[in-house]
Amino acid sequence: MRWFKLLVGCAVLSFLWLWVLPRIAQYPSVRDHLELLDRRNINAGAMYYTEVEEHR
Amino acid sequence: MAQWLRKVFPHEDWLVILLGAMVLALCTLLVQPKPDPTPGPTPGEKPQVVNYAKGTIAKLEKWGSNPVRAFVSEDQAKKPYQHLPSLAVTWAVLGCLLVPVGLWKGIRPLEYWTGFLVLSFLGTLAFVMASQEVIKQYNYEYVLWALLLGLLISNTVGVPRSIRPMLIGDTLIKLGLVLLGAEVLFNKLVALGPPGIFTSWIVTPVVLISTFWFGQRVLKMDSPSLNMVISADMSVCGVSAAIATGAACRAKREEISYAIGISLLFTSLMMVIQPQFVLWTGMDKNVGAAWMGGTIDSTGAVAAAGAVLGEDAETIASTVKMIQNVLIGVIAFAVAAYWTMAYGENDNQQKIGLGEIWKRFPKFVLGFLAASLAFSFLLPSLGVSSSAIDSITKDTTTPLRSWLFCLAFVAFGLETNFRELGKYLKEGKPLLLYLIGQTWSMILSLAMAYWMFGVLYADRVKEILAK
Repeated sequence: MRWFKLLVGCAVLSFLWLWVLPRIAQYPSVRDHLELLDRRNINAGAMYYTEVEEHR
Repeated sequence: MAQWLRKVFPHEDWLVILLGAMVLALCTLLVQPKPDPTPGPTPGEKPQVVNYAKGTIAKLEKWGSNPVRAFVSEDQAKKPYQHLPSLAVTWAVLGCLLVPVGLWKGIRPLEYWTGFLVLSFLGTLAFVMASQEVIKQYNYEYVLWALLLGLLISNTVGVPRSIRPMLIGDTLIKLGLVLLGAEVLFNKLVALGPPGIFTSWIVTPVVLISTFWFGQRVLKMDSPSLNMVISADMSVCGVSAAIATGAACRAKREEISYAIGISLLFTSLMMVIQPQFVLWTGMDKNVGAAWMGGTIDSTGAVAAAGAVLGEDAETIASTVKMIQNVLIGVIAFAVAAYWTMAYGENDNQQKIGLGEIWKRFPKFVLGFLAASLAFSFLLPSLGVSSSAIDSITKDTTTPLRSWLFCLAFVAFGLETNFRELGKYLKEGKPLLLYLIGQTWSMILSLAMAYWMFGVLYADRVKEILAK
């Protein structure tokens, strides 16, 4: 049962990351924002300012 | 060996400081001026440097639908999986770096390496999850996924006994914080002049202290350390502040994890809503940008939200945030000092002496502060250029401390029971504290941003941006 729970957890995560998120990325508004971040070279996942390119 | 190490380093923090200092010294030595026969830089031009350790520590790539892309750099797409060698080196560097910690703690070699490999594998998986473009766009940082993977395993199949000795999350956090110290550069304070300093360095401590006071006196929160971690991550700079203050006030791992969870959730909402609010109200974009820089918790989210308003706004928002980031060193030290005196291990009404204060003080904070002072003042005075310092942090110490934080949160997840976290979710006070504190922060930051960027220094800011 414990291993089954782990398997279900892994399946849910795989479904989210491999199916749901790639499809969300295709929404025009999300795509536009992703392209804007790419164009400006912004690391939106930065934890600290040293990970933000413009402060280098 | 363990006995000898414990004799030399009676407190674990001293060993952590030594390891951190060795890493920083080695990373500094590996950055040298570029061997070039052409004349040196002209005035105003940054001297070029070579970092011999560049690319050693793995940094995964952003990916959309195929996670394998996380290991493949876009500009060298013909060579597949070229991050795998650096990943192997990263694991080896971390594994060797932590050996003295393992010896100090008396962990047997088999347990050490088994535990380390499990942590590293899950840490790599967390980085892959965090590198998905949508996840990255909304600033859901790797620590969240590291925690989630740890929680998934510990709450389903459980953690094998052989791995338990390597669940040394607290130590990994301390070592990561000593390395983070090298990124806390005080010369960054002058980047925007007085308006930046006023917006970041006046509002932030006021919000931090008043929110903590509100949590203790009005909400009567059960845990002062949870109150402090939430107050700090909400008022300073999100995850990094939660980690630094959490370690400084010896918060429980569930408290740090919970505070980070709330912070990331609201950051992802605010980074979408706040720029739209600025546009909708027709607010001056410079004022709006400074406001976002002062209130959105996470650094990357501030840059992303600022970009929606334009290039100037992005510069102002992320510079205000950067100045606020620098405050983390002072805050961590102040929290450690306050906690030592106010919340000792043997609470009683008697005054404690200097000796006792020193005994209780979390020593790693001194390493954190020393690294910050060394990289801010000592190295520049010894002739180390700003481009060399940039390279040291960008290419080596920053990715290394990210790995240390990542492994730490995997370990936290592996040690945490869902029920322990659920306790905080059921109790509404921490969430209420965050919401009230954030509202207070937004009001004060808006007032200060308007006064500084819209009235007092409006022309000066435009001049700086024009340059």
